Amino acid sequence: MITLLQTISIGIFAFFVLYAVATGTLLALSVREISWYSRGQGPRRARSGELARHPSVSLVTPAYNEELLIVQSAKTFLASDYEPLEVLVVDDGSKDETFARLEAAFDLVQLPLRGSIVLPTAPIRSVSISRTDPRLRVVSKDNGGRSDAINAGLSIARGELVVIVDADSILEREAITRAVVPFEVHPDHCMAVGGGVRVANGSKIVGGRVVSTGLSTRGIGATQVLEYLRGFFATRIAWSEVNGLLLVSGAFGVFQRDLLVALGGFSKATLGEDMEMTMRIHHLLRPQMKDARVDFAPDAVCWTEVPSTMGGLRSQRIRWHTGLLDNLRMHKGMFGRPRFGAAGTFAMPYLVLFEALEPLVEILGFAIVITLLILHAENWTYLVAFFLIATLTGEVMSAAALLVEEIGFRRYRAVDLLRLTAWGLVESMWFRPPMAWWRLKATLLALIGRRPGWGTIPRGATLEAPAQAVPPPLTR
Amino acid sequence: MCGARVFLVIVGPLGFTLWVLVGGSLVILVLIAIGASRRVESVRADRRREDVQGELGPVFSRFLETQDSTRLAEELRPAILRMDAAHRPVAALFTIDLMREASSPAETEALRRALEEAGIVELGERGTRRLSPWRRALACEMLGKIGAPRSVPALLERLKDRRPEVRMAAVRALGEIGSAEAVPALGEAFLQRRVAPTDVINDALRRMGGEAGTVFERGLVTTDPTIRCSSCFGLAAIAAQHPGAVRRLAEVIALDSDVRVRVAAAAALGIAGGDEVPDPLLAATNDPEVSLRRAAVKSLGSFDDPRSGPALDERTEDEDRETAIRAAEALFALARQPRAAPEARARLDSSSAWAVQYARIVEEVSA
Repeated sequence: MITLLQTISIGIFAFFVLYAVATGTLLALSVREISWYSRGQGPRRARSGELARHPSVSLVTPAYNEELLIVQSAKTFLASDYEPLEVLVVDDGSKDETFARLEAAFDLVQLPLRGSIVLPTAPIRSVSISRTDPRLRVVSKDNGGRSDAINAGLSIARGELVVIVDADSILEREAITRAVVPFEVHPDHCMAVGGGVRVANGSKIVGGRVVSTGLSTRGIGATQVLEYLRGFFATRIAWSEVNGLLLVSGAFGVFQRDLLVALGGFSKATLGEDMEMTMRIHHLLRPQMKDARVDFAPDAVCWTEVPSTMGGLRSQRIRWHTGLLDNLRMHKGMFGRPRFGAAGTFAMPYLVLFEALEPLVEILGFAIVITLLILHAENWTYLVAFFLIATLTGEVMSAAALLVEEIGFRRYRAVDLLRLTAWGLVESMWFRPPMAWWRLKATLLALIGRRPGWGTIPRGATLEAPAQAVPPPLTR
Repeated sequence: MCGARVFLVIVGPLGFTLWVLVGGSLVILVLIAIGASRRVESVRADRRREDVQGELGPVFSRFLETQDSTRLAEELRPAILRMDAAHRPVAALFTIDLMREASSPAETEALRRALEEAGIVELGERGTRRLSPWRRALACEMLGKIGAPRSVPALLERLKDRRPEVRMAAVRALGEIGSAEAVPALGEAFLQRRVAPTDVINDALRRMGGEAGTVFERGLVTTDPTIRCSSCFGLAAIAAQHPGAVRRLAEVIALDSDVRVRVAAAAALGIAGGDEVPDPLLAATNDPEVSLRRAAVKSLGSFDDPRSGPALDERTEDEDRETAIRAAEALFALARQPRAAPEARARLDSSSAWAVQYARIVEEVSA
């Protein structure tokens, strides 16, 4: 019995070594790729006036019960430096004052709603245009969920490219311009581009703009910064480089509109509709068009508020993990298949091993070492070894991600980086165990066929504009 | 000593884990050290920026007051020569920003002359051969912003650079200089789809005006649909300097086998515009292919031709929502043209199409 447990624990150790090697390789590749940004070359070449072509862009933002932020968010989106731009706010049957606030702030006038709607959605009640800034359209529809709202926006959108942004996200002024660059570099093959999503908690926000980057004083906020730097920046740069990026975040992504329509819009059958769409692009296009690409633009930045309570984090992570499992099931045909390029041969196995199965292995590891400890107290070294290696693996990844951030973007002060390093050291003591447990719970729920709902993330004060904040000018 | 013994007691039995820990910790320390050195380097870079600002700022301020390019050259040369290798890239960035912010073509020209006289262009040309790729790219960018035709050979040489970023910077720079000398090399690069992204080379070529016309004409008969599409837009952009561009694009709508190219030609005609609508564009408004109808109706709004009125009126009832809206918007565009206005206004006044109501509201709001 003991030997069996010890053998399994060695297997778990090997799993972590494999994870460290795989992720370390991705991070090393990212460091190499990011060197151009360190010289300011990436952002410099993406100035709005210096793009060779300006495809028309429709920014679609689904909004459900967003009365607190929606006006400020719409103003921020309209203040983007990109032209030609239209902003479509899709009110997904909000029960609060979302639509009324928009109507009052932007002096909306209704447009005739006829003609074919290309994607089936819950009934659209009205489409309005703003008198104060005609680039703004507001779509009001019956509630149908996030995917349904985006699909309604896609039907009404007129741009060649569609930018999908969460209503509570803050888009940097140059973000769209920078996200459009990969479409210029790979005109035939670029199908979608993911933007960099950063954590707004702790940063100073004035008038819908992040004016200085900071770090939440609370561990839950700071540790999520670390997570986002690892997940959203460090590894995605590498996945994009090898064309194996399987997630264009729903918080900020750019797609070819006609492609989304041709693919039938976002799926309502998954809780991870953003990842599902990215996987679908690889799954359906790459066998016929092997060079079809999904890119990542790390300098195109959008800020988002992350959960500031464990309860909020719990429901978010259960939802994300359920979405991940849905998507892996829906696109299992890509697993290990060379016809899907790096997406099939590397990214899918990586997701299955180190995202879907990782919580299982982590919990199993803890269970085994504790059992060993109970059966034979002298085996305490296993517990210590397991814990130390888990901590060390996480810290190496965090340090590498922070290095990518420091080389490429330098958004954080030195003291914040030191604090992040410190939070990385203690992460495995308080942050990772509940995360592993929640994800395991999501797996168990999926196995018995139960699904979590969307839930709501309680709004902190972070993204609410202070009363004295002066919004950017609306018309240019 | 006591502490060390306690440490050994704790980690001794861990064996292999100890080595993993030591190795991992070393990796972390190395990463932290690299990060710290980058931070120190960036602080130094900030200082260098201040130094350069302090050195060159007053010189350029005096120039902006006096517009005396000879004096600027005299003051600039020793200031640049005093700078070391680390300060010169910062000076290059400073120069790029300065050229970008020049308030008039005359000021741009005076600055260009002064920078040439001061030897900055020569330094930039040397910079295009530096070992570091980002410095080569920066030198190309600076030369492009200065816009001196003498830099063209140095930039043409960079079209063969091994780094795509440098090649792209060279293409953009050649476009900004706009010298016809670069057309053959850029034309080959465009037609063979190498050196840089198609759109970037296209943008550079069209800045050279009519000289690039032959390249785009050749592009229209290649087998690569991407080149053909791009050539349509290139030709449209230089239509004013390239007689026959509209006719050629109309032929593409009528004859090309690839619908994407036909759509590109129809859209490009909207950029070119003119007094008389080519017949293939008018016919394309009834094409079964939705994307071609959309492009065609939009482009009709750019031609001051009364014949477009009936075709657009018909398309305001198109089953495709976007085509109907574009047709209505094009009718409003025609209503602002001298010759086509009466017909367009009559159509708009008599129309009960929802798309016309839609476009009317958008027009009113936008006004």
